[in-house]
Amino acid sequence: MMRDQNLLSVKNLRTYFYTEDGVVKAVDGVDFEIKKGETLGMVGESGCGKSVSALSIMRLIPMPPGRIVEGEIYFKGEDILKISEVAMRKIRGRDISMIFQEPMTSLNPVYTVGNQISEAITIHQGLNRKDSWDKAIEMLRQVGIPDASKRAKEYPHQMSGGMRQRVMIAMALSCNPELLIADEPTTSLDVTTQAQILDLIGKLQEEFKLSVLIITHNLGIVAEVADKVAVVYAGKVVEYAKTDEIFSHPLHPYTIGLLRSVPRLDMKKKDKLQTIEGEVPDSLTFPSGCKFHPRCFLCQEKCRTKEPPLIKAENGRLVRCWRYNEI
Amino acid sequence: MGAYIIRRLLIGLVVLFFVTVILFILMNLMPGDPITAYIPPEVLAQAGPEYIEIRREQLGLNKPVVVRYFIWLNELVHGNMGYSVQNGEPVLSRIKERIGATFELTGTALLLAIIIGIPIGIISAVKQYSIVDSLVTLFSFTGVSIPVFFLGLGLIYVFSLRLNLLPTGGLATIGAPPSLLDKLSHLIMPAFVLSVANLAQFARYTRSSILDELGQDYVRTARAKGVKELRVLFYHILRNGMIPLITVIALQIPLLFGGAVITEQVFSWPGMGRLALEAIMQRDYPLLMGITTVIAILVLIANLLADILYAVVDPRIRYQ
Repeated sequence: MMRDQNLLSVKNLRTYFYTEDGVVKAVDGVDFEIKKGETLGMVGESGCGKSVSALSIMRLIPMPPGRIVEGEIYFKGEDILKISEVAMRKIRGRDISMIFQEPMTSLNPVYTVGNQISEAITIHQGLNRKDSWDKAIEMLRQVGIPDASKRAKEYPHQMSGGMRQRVMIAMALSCNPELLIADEPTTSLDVTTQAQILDLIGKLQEEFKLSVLIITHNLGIVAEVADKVAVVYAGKVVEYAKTDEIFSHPLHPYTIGLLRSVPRLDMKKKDKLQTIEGEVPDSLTFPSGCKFHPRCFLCQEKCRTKEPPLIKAENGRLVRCWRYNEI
Repeated sequence: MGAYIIRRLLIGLVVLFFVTVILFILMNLMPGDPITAYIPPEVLAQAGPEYIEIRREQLGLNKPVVVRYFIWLNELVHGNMGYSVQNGEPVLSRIKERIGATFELTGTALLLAIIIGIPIGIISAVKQYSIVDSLVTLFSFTGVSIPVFFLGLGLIYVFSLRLNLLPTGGLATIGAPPSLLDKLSHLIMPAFVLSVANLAQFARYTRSSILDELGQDYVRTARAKGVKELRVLFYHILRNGMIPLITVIALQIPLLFGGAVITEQVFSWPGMGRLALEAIMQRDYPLLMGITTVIAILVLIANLLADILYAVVDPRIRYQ
């Protein structure tokens, strides 16, 4: 068994979906590590396998059609892909919690929010009804919901999107987990609420000494909250480095493309916003060689035929590109 | 909520009014002269047209339809549904003596359909595409397609004539001391026959409703916080999945009464359905009018109950 100071370390994770049309390699080689108290940002376009990676860590991939075909996920030194479902269930919500993109639909519409928060507390901490209800109210207070004891009795539809996401966070943190996985937690919220939720996560991270895996397609969010970044393309991590390094000196052509396609306020009128040519490949028919080669400005013969491994670059950075040092 | 129920009751009364208007018109459109039902055939053969006219006048049948309708309505409001042509008894008391048996039959059938149909629907959703699921699907389509009289006669043939396990019909064994077992042995076959179509329907709807819910985000949330799979199913999914089923069940209730007409005939069950059939055969217009009105009232009540149940189960629905 592995022993290191990483809270979570994902190695060569591969999660495939066996559909009628063929095998969808949603996650096809994802590696990253999260230390205690650290925040890792996972960036990539829609459908690149970010969410499936997160659900794989929770072991919540619908099986069938999905299956984790390869890889190891060490949590506190133990490979959680090898433990029983019963043991995994004790980890979910207690050691690793998750919040989702859609606060509108992620809460059960027929139960009060207090009820849904206290459910997790009852399950993991064995408190009685009254005590777990009080704890739920306390959690609502912590996530900044005013008049918590009254709002605990409300149903999800009586709350705004931002409030519901706060409820999700309260639920996720109610059992003092060590790792919070936030899957696009602010994508469906309006911009001011986004900032509030991110602030809240940051504040609670310190209070609860949390490690956070934040999944997003928004580079701004990554720059703001993440210590390290894993850039994902077509189910694979293509670049992995500290946040400031990624932004100041990206190594992978895809990362460069992503950064260039962010609009900036200091752009001149005549400057056109750059985009990455082409489209994300269909996961049923990935290109040969490097998955990014059809869209890459550095593409060479080797890139078309041979897929690059995650290459160790300077400062312990990782990059999946044959020609990274030519940039 | 209270105000809502009162408003719904008032609307129900209006609906009932129009239902009775339509029923009354339909009764009058039926071929044949109702007067012939009131005069014994041998008298009718000898009587001259003057006699028939006198009887018509006595019975009020010479008045226009509209007037007759309001006379009927006025009597209804005062708790009188008129008198049966066959034996002159008040329609209300004839219905009263039969309605209990029908409630027994339809109630049991509905209960069977719910307590069997919903669980097999749940199993078939959870085990989607398994052999169990295919069997349930096969059974459901058979159940919905098979005519009630055919199934009834088939079961009588097998269980009563061949196996000699169950009585062919009736409420209870005549002359035998009343016992629960005897009652149940008479009830089980007709109730099952009547419930089959509903049961199959409920199983199908439950299956698709649960499947819908299984894919919802809140289910993932529940699993992500470490809830056991059984609790996910019975605590989180079931309550959401049952909401659309309330409508389905409420909509089946009228069909249940309709089905009872045939089932009661097949199993000689002395209920309201058979009474309705007798009324049609005997051209007993007041009785038929009474029975249909009672069924209309029951259906309206069932719908109201469904609406109230909705609000109880689903917090998003609040009636003003």
